[in-house]
Parts: sequence; C-alpha cells; structure tokens
Amino acid sequence: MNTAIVTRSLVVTARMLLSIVAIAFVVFFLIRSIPGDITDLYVASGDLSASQQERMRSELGLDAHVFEQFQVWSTQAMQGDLGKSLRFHTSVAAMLLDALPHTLTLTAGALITGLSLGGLLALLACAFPTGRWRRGVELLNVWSIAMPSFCIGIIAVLVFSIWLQWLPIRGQLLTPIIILSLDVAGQVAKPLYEELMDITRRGFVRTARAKGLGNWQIVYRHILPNAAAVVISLAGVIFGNLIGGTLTMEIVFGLNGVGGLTFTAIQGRDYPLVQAGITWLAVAVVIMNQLARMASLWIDPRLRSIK
Amino acid sequence: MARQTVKQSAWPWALLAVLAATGLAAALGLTQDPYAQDFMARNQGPSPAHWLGTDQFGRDLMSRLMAGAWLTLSVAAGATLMALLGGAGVALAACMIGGWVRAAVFTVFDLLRTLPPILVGLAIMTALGAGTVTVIFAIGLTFAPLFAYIASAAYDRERLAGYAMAARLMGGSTLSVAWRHMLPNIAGALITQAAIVMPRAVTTESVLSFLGVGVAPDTPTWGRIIAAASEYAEEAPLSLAVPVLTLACTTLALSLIGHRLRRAERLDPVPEATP
Amino acid sequence: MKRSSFATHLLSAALMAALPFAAQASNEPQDIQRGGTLHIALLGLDTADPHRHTGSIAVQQVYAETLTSIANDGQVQPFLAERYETLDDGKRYVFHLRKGVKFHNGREMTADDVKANFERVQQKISSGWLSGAMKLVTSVKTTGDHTLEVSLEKPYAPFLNLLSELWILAPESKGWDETITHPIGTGPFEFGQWQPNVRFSAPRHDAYWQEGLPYLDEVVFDLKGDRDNNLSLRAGDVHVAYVGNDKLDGLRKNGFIIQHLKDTAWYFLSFNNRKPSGLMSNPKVREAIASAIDKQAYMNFVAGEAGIVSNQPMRPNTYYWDESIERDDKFAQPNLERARRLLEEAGVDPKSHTLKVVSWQNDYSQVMVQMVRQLGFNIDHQALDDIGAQKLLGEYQWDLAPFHSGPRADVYLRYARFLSDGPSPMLWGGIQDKELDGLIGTAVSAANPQKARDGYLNAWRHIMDKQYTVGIGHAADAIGVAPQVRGYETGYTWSQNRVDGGVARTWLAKQ
Repeated sequence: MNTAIVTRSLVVTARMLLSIVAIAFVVFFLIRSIPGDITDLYVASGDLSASQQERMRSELGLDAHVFEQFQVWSTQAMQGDLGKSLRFHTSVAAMLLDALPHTLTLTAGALITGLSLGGLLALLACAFPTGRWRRGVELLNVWSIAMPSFCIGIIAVLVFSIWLQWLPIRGQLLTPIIILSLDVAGQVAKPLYEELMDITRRGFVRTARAKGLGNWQIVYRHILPNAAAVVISLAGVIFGNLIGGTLTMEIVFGLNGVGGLTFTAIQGRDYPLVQAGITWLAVAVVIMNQLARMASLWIDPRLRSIK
Repeated sequence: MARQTVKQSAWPWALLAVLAATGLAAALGLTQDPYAQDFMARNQGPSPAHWLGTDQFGRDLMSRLMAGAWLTLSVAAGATLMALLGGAGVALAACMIGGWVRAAVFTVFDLLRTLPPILVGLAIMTALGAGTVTVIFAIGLTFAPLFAYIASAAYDRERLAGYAMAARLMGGSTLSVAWRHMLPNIAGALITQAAIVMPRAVTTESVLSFLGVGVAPDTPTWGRIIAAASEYAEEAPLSLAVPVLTLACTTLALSLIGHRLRRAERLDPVPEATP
Repeated sequence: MKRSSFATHLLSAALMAALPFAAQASNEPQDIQRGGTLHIALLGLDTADPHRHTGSIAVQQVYAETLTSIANDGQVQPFLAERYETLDDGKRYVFHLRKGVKFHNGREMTADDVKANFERVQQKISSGWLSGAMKLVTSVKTTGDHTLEVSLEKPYAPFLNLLSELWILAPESKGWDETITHPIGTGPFEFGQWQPNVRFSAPRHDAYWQEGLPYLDEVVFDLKGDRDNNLSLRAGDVHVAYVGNDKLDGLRKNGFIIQHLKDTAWYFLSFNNRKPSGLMSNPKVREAIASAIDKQAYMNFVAGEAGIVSNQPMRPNTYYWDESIERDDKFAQPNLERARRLLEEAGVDPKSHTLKVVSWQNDYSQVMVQMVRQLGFNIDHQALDDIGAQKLLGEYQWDLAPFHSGPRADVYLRYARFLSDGPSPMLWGGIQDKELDGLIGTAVSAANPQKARDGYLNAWRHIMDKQYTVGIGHAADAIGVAPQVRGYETGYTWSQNRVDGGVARTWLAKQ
C-alpha cells in the first residue's frame, strides 16, 4: 500500500513539474514571437536613434538566437535567478514577491468568502425551501453569469469612491474581494443547493435519523462530503474564472498584483517579467487542479460508503 | 436528478430575436451611422434625435449599441465556431491516430487550459495586432480545449459502443465508422457545449475590448462602448448603464439557452483533463 | 580704493547676490505649515539610474538636480551652477558652481563631482539626447573646487538647455560603474523606496541647499499613471495628478484647481515619408488630405478651450514661432471642395483605396480617421500601445499617423526628429532628407539666437513644402491639484523641481 502511495505521489509531482517546464518553454518562445522588444519602448519615447537601438539590443542580449537566450535563462532560473526586469533593471523575483501578497489575498479572500457565502445561502435555501432564500440563490446565480466583474468594478468605483467617498480607489482590497466573492458564490450556490435538496429528498436524512445518528453526525457523514464533492468538481472552473477576474480587478483598482504586473509586462515586452508572471500563474492553476483532483479522490471513498 | 417543472419562458429566444433584428438593421444601414461624429452633441442624454443620447464623440449611442449587437454576437459566434471546429476537429483527429500523437496534442490542450485566458488573449492580440479576425482567433483558442475534451470523451465512449464494434466487424474503416456513426452522437454534445461557451465568449470579448486589446478603436462592440462610457459615467450615466444592462441580459439569455440544452441532453459537467 | 567704499561695494554685491533668495524668504507667507506627505500621480519612473532615463521626466528632478534649469517661461537659468559664461562664440562654457550644496549623504558637491558626471554620460551612456551632445565635448576641466570649464568641438545652441537633464549625482552612488540602484543627489527629497510601476517615496533632505526648503516631509509618487488619475484625484488618493483635458470641468466643479504645463504638446498628422505608397507619393493627395482636416474642431476635441490651432512645431507667440508662416497657412480652415477637386485632378477615386492609419490608443486619432473618411477613403485603423505602434510605424507600411509630442526642454529636441538619423523619426514618417539635415544643422550651430531662429524656420518651411507632416495645433497638458495643496506650480516641462518652482516650495494646508 505504501509503495503505491509513494509511486503515485512521485508520478503526480513529475507530471506537475513537466507541465511547469513545458509552460515555461512555450511562454518563452511565444512572448519573443511578439513583434517589438524593450528597446522599441525607448525608441517610442523618442530617445534612441537606430544605431543606438542596435547597441542597446546587444547590451541586453536580445540579438542572440532565441535558443541561446532560452539556454541562458533556464540555467539562471534553475539556480533561482529569475533575472532582471528589462525595463526597470530591478530583480524580477523581488517584483513578483512584492506583488504576490496582493494577488494571494485577493484570490484567497474571494475564494473563502465566496464559498462561505454560497454555502450559507444554499443551506438557508434548503432549510427554508419556500420564498426568498431560494430566490436569493437564483439571483446570485444569474448575477455571476450575467454581470462581468469589470462592469461591476467600474460601477463600484464610481459609487463607493467618487460619489460616496467611502473608500480610496487604489490599493484597497475590500471592494475587489467583495465583487469576486459574489462571483464565486454565484457559481457555487445553485449547484450546492440542488445537491443538498437531492440529499434530503433521497431520504438519507430519514434513514440516518432512524439509525439513531444525531444532527451533527448527519451533517458530517452525509451532507458535508457530498457538498464538498460538488464544490470540488467545480473547483477547476471556479479557480480559472477567479484568476481572470483577479487580473481584471487588479487593473481596474490599480492593485500591484501578479496579474497586473504581467499585463503591463506583456505590453512593455519585458520578457523576464512576463516569463516569471505567466509561469507563476500557470503553476498556481496546475497546483490547484492537482489539489482538487486529490481532494475529490479523498472524498470519494466516503461517498461510496454511503451509497 | 431533482425533477423540477420549470415553466420555460421564451424570453431568451425573444431577446435574441430582437438583437438579431436590430443587428441586421444596423448592418443594412437602416440606423444612423454609428461612426458619425458630431462635436456639437457630445455626451448628451436622450433626445428625439438620439434616443439613448451620445458618447464623447457625439456618436449616436442607440445605433452604436445596435451595430454592437451584430458585431459582438458575430465575434462570439465566430470564436465559438472556431473553438468547436478547431478543438473538436483536432481532438478527433488525434484520437483516431491515437498513441503518442494523441498524448502530445492533449498535453498542448492541457497547457492551453491552464494559462489564464485573458493573458493568452492579450498575448495573441499583442502579437497579431488588433482586428476582428485576430480577436476571433484569440478567443477561439482559449475555448478550444473545452471542445477537445468533450470530443475525446465522447469518442472514447462511442468507440466502445456496440454499434461501433459491429460496424468495424462488418469491415468499415475507422474513418467511415467515425463519420457515419459517431459524429451524429458527438454533435449533440458539441452543440450543447457551444451554447454554453457562447456567453463566455461574449464576456471574454468584452473584457478584452475593455482592456484595450480588442478590435479597432471605433468599432462599437459592447466592450469598447462600455470602456469608453466608463470614463464619462458622470456626465452621461446612461451611456454606461444601457450597454452594461444589454450585455448582462444577452449573456444571461445565452446562458439560459445553453443551460436548457444541457438539461435536455442530460449531459454531465465538462470532464477533467484526460489522466 | 578706500577701505570703506570697498567694503560697501562688497556688501552691496553680497546683498544683490542674496537678493533673489532674500526676496523669496520675505515672500514666504507666514501661514506655511511644514510637514505632511504629498501624493502625486503624473508620469512613471523607469529606472533608478537618472543618467539612463529616457522620455519625459517628472519624478527624478526631486532627488537629482542639474547645472541649469528651464524656468517657467522656457528660458534656461542657472541652478546648481550659480552662473555661467559662454565664450569663444559658444565653443567654451565656464560654470561657477554654487557653494555649500550638500549631497544626500552629507558631502559637499565640488567641481570634480560634476566632472565625474559629465564623464559618466560620455563613457557609459549610449542613448538619449545627451549622448549626442556629449560627443561634441572635447574636454571637461576643473579649475578650482567650484569652477568647471567645458569645451566643445563646435558651437551647439541647445547645450545649456540640454544640461538641464544632465543629473549631478555623487559618484559614490551604489552602482555607479554599471547601473545605479540608489542615486545620491542634491535634490530637496532623497531617493527612498521604489516599487517599479507602483510607487516611489522620497523623504525630505534636511540639508537641502535652498534655505528653509522643502516644507513637506515626504513626496510619494503613484507610478501607475493612467486614465484613472482623474478618479484617484476625486477619491482623495492623490493630491496632484495628470488629468485628461476633458475632465477639467468636472474637477473644477468639485473644488479642484487646474493648472497647465507651460509648454505644450504638439499635435500633428504625419505622412509616410520613408516608403510612401504610390497614392501617397502624389503631392495633390497629401494636399487633399490636409485640406480635409478641421484643425479648430480637432484641437477643440483634444483640449477644449485650451487647444490652440497652429501649423508650426512651437506654439504661437513664442520665440521660435513665426506669425507670417501662420497667417499664410492655407490649411487653417478645412476645405472639402478643394480636397475633392484635387483628388479628381489626381485621378484618384477614394472609394477604391484603403488608407492605413497607425496611432496610439487615444480618442483624437478616431477624430482624424473620421475626418479623412469624409473624402470617401476606406480606413484601416490600427490603434496600438507604445511598442506596437513603434514597431508598426518602423516598418513603414502605413499611410497616415496622427500623433502628438510632449513638451521639451529645447526647441532642438523638436527638430531632431526630422533628421535622417534622428531619435525615433517614425512618428514623422522617417524623413530622410539631406537638405533638411543641413538646414537643421545650421540652426543648431548658429552663433546667436536670431540666426538659430532663422535656421529652424527655414527648416520648417522646407518641411511644409515637402508636405512631410501637417502641424495641427498645440495643447498644454492639464494637472489637477487638490485645494489643500499650496505653493505648487507647474513648469515649462514636467519637471517637479525647478529654479523657480516645484515641490520644494509646496506645502499642505491642514483641512
């Protein structure tokens, strides 16, 4: 049994590493296929003549063959050196580390708040099946489908920061977290609600009660695993949407997060920064997907024993 | 599954019909010119001349919205179609060839799925330049994996089905078996997925336009209209509110249609990447 | 000379030297409140190495200063240099440096430090306006602790103005030999914490050479600098911000003060001059398109009342602008009939042509597109970011390019772009015209301002004859200032610390 688990973990880790390396590889070549490089940024602001540009290019190593550049980059990256931003000459790793807390707070905050909100709403709708809680679930679902987060973001900025002057625009995490968590809650509430209703109707609860189980045990053994399973099956989609939503929020609210950083870096052809940013984001998604997969396998046995 | 008797209202179809009609009218030139600028009439509210007011160039908002309906929907439809044909087509071909080709192709799809769609879109748009075709390509690329997985899952399912084996026993080649028997079955799943992807394509196009990496600047797709309106929201709040509401309702209508189709097909949620 | 009159002379000389600063001190209002942090959102900061900075500069000046400075009227004034002399018809400059100027690390600035900075730019910096100028420098000598002599190969009119961007830093700054990571300057604020593209904080320099200044404790720059500045200002995130010209009314209504930069951004429409298409090589077609532009409406759109129509690169009523050229501008008013007639004469059917337009992602380019469309042409408009536009322009596969160019420290910097090997010539279609190079060269090496003016105007007339680019107008960029900010004044360029104004003199009134 143990060897199986060990081999399994090794396989999983290997696959993840392979994905990450592959992503880094692909991104490296893709970003360099975009016309224009960092020297063009300087030319654009009017301070480089053609001959000066050639000189700067070779100084930055941009005239070397693409494979050569990749070789240089990968050897450095494996030693932990992510290079310097071509535009700002500061350490890419430092810039990412500065940006990471914002993105993490935003994503984690939205995820936790959203799941809690969605879960709570679903429970309430289940407990009081007639009337407004049920409608709330529907409304939330509609909201998350129909309203793109950037629209809500603009409107929120106008309402809360300009008209009401309650909050500053830049640097605050409260409004973006609320907006994103509503989105998450909307994706989770309805499926959860339907699953919970399903459980009640299938009579597990009655059987369990008949067996003499107390309320908490019912929740723990029957309801939670099923609810968790629903959420986990949606996890991939939710997380994917969340990454996109986080990027938009970072741009609208001027937050210094990984998404916003990468976005600006792409426009500025700041290769090392783009590389690190996209790789990091992809890694996050890969890890999350893997965790979701593992979690669903862990939950599964419990489910099977009930059925 | 819980049996709920939902009274299926026809409003999504009605909305789509209205949008298609207005889009057609705009395309046929029955409305005011959505590109005509009038500096005397900037950022105005509703008036008899301009039913929904004007934007910061003095362009009639109503006709821009209607032209936008046509543009936004056609871009979304184009992207969805591209994703379907590209994703499913490539996936099916890979499945039929099998072996390492299939593994390689699906690794690529896997990669594509992990990269955040907006960044992929941004990178592609930056590389290929703005324009309707490149937007369709970029959005199509981000949704192609979804169709690929459905196609491959359906392929695996169908291949083991009785009739497929029977057809092969009777001497049909893989290709003809696929063509004659599998495709009709797969098509249903693909079409349902297309209906689900369509509203997401609309939203993605809006976000890309909003971020400034969509179509040409005066092209009145809804995302662009919203981006421009957001800067003048105080002077002309209607110019922001109406496009946002239109976008929301359209997305909702499309989603509902997709949702109903899925229920009708009794399809499972999109399966995870092949292990 | 009798001792008493000598002493009197000395005293009066000293008094006269001190007068400007004494006047300042006595003008200092009694209600100045010291302390506080000013939040500014203007332009970004691309590097911690001031010598390597390119483009418009709005942050560096608070920690790095220069020998000369451009005053509010566009004239060059001594700054870190107390005074200077121009000798040998402009081939030799002697700078007398101010005494008692302390770097941020406490050390006093000497002529050797200044020389080291000149040499650094000469040897290590290969890009920017200055490197071109420094090539003409044949020697830099220090004669004493506070005197510097610079010799040039030949007279160079923009020299003193360009020195307003030759930053004087302490050679012990970290990274001096490669790329400076922490510059030690002489400015009223020190280089604090820099988060690229996000935020830059600059705490006050207690031993600043201007007595009593600065008033503030700290200046914090918001480096994101994009269209949200207006909203940031309204929300109270920043005190001073660069705002779009169409937001001014809204800001004024909410109690904000609007100031404009003293120099303007120049708006123009360029043709492809490097590889023009067959169609666009026809001067009648260029004339037709120029005739379709409604300059007044265009500038009105760009900047409302602050928009000025002009067909020259320097704005009206300044030294390098000429009234007669303006008067004789046949494109001052749009003339669609003439345009259509010209196209007919040229045998051009606009409907069968698609013109490629390249621009940045702004609104006014859409106005231009619409104006040209009136003639019946089809338009393919590519609106891109900085680099994308640059790249596309550099391929010279386009027809029209509506752009604008920001304020510059010297008139030469406007004309440099028309040179065959000038910096970033693509916005003007990549002109390669030896005759034009000669005309501009004459202006640059002119012995006196009058000759320089003639030279530049000749060059501009040449450009108009050849229809390389159409000058449309000028508009000054607007800065929104919160009401509690006092003593803040915009300058000729984006500089935030100048001989006659800037954040050193700014203070915050408590609300």
